[in-house]
Amino acid sequence: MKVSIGESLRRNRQQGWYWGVVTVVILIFCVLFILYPFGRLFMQSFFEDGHFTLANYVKFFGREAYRKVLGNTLKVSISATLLGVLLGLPMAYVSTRFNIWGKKAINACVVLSMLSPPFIGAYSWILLLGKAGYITTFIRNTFGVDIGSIYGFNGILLVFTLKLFPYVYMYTSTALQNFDSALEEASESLGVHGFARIRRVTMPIIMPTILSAALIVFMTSMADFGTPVLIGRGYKVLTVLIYEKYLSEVSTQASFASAMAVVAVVFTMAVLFLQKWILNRKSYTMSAMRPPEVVKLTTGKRVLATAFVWIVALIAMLPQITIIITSFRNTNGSQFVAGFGLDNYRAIASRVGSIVNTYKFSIIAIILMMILGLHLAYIIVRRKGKVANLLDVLAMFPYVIPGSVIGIGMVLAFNTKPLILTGTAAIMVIAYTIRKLPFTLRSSIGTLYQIEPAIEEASISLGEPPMKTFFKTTAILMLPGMLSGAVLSFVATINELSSTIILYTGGTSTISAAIYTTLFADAYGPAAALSTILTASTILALLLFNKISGGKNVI
Amino acid sequence: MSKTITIDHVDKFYGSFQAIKDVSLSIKEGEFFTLLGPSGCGKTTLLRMIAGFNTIEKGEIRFGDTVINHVPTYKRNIGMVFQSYAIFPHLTVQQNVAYGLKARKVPKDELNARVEKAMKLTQIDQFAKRQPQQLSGGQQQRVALSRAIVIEPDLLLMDEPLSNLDAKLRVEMRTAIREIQRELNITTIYVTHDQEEALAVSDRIAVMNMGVVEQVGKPYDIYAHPTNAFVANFIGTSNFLDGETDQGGVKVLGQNHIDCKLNRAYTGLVRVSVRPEHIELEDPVPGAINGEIKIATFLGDFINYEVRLANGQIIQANQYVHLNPRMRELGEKVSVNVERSTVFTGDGKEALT
Repeated sequence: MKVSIGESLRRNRQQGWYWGVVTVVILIFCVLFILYPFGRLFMQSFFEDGHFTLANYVKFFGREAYRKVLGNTLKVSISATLLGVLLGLPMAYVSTRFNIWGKKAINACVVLSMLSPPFIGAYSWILLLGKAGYITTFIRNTFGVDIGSIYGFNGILLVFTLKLFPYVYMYTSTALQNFDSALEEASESLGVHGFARIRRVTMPIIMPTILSAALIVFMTSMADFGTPVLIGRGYKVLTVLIYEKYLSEVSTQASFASAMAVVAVVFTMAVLFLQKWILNRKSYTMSAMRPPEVVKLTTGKRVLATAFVWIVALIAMLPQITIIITSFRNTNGSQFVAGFGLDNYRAIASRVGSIVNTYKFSIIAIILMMILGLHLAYIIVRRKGKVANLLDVLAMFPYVIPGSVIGIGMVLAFNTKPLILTGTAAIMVIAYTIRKLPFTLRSSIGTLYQIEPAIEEASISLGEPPMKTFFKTTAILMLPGMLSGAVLSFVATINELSSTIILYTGGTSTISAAIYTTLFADAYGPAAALSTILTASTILALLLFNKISGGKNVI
Repeated sequence: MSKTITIDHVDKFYGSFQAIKDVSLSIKEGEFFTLLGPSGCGKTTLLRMIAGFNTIEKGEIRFGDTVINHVPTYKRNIGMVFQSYAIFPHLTVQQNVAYGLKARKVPKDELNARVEKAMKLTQIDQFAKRQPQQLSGGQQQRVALSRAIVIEPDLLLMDEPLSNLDAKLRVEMRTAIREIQRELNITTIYVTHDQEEALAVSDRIAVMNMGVVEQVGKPYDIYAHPTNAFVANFIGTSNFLDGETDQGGVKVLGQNHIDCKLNRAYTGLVRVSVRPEHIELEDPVPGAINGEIKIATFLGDFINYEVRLANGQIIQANQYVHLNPRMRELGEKVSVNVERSTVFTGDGKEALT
């Protein structure tokens, strides 16, 4: 529907000023804090001392060492994606289609392992499989065999796979549950059954879902900073290199780091478009008339299936458990000693500021995200048009950008007049808000589609002006559905490391930044205590959400 | 309170598509006025222009003497009943009904009294504390109506309010709506695509087609004296026979004369519209309009025949069982006796009788 400017002005006059003002405010916010920082970063990559140059890109692609880093990044991300799908898919199929024991508990384990930050997983696997790890030492002492070290490619891949297969699991479980069983029955009636049926009917239909999940795994792997920096050691990836170069350059310049950041974004965008292109060609909407029945396995097979699912779920949970136990071990300096106690928690008493900051920033950020999500979703769904499309793209953009890139963009944009924000709490809150908003926004948009526009028209016809109408009807109705995304945003915010590490200063440190610095000071015990606090916060947020939403599942 | 509504040469454009073309209507105080037409005819667009959800590109809409083109919806003092009911799912029945009064900051005692009265009138007082999800479709419909009338609107707008109900409830509800509307004497504009519903409830009907008003009139007049072939076809069922003017009437199917008096001098092609109930089937008479029975459907009080004429055209004829109890055989030869008809110009745009 084509709407002329005159028409939209008239419409605005008739519908009141509220949405016009909101649109302008959000547009300014998005341009200032999303478009402008990335624009600065992009420009910076082409300038050195005020002169236009391609030198940064020539330097990056010209040197064997840098090309190797890019190769490493792609290799580890692609491997993690493949392994994640290979692990998540059978997990989802077995746990949705067969009568295994303890489905709910498995779900809880998988969600929890997905929502805790990757770098804690990395750190935990070092505790388990590192040079002096629990398992490494145990095998060395018992069998006299040295299983080598976890550092490098294998370590990163292990952490990514276990951390990210839950995305594949969650997405495909939902798809499999909504699958219309008539399709499978049709296939069986035509003589295609068993594994052939899965291959020729079930898989092709849930393929778009698998691809969506795979994309998330890939992008998260590309963007993660904490895991490779901890467990990668000599195996360097792009995010780590960007951070190192950023630290070594004059921070007001950061031209080379910017160029690499641009390269990273270009690659993620390319994969995103590839996935969109495939999805557009092949996508099916499915609403199960009759969801598939759960197959009752014979006892032997049932035990095997249950064992498979539980072993994977427990291995995924192992890092959390290790961290929690480790946090209670006694330490002496940086050494663990025998016995359990609260030493580590006493040692982090000085870090209490970081804990307070984490909560303070996250709560402010989540409130901002909810307000933004509520209004943005409304503009995108109900006030379609060029501006709405632009806002949609702008708001989703940070989703595909690594956190460290956002951090550097923010520093470049806001360390000079007229708006100096570097070093403030505000810049942290803003970075978190724009980076984690997409979860909240997506769930808000999804919820809003379920609410019929006539509800608002009814309210307006009864005499409530548009703004009051919005808050008395649509906003209230959106809240429950929004929460599922908001809880993801919140959990992701308290666990955020990669932009924090660029933006924080002494006074604005958070738990994740504190863990990072503590780990690099070899204080493994206190790091475990901090990680436990973070994990506990995550669990608490999830429980709170479950309570509010009346026991409905996350996501 | 209730007001006359004037729609004065109104246009609506969506880009280059003109949804409403120079529509003028005048709705009297307390009148039950229906906009009737097939989907896409512009009836809902026009209703939403009156409500203020659509802008008015050209022309004026007046409530009483006030031009409301630029008055926002929330200040128009209208009650609106939506096709989907649009009951607020987070409020109880009582809170739904009270919503508009709260927006008007009506004092609490008066509010309670008015809500109580409106709920009684619409027979939902026993559900006052329920959540809307616990109500049936018909009950939700009553809540929607209650909520719209409690504010004592200048104008009640109803957009296909019965289309989500089953057939029996639809008849019950339309009677209820009509009674309440009469009792409160609210000017009402009602949108529907169901001609039977329109005929049943309306004081007057505007038949719309492709953005224009084809005819405005009382239900009987529209049915009995359609001013063009579209209305004849859309309201009830009509058979159309092509022909041309003849001495003292018209000639159809090349040879058969029908007596009639044209309302103006006209010669040339005509379309003759005949209602199925205005056809009498007789045993074959030479020189008459002859045909044979293709399908006979027994429908209780009458039998519906499909008759194939000599030229291959199939027409419908209804024969009352109490007058013609014998059901004719398939293939049986009959003569078609036209008892009453309306003659239109050859393009169907103008009635000549």
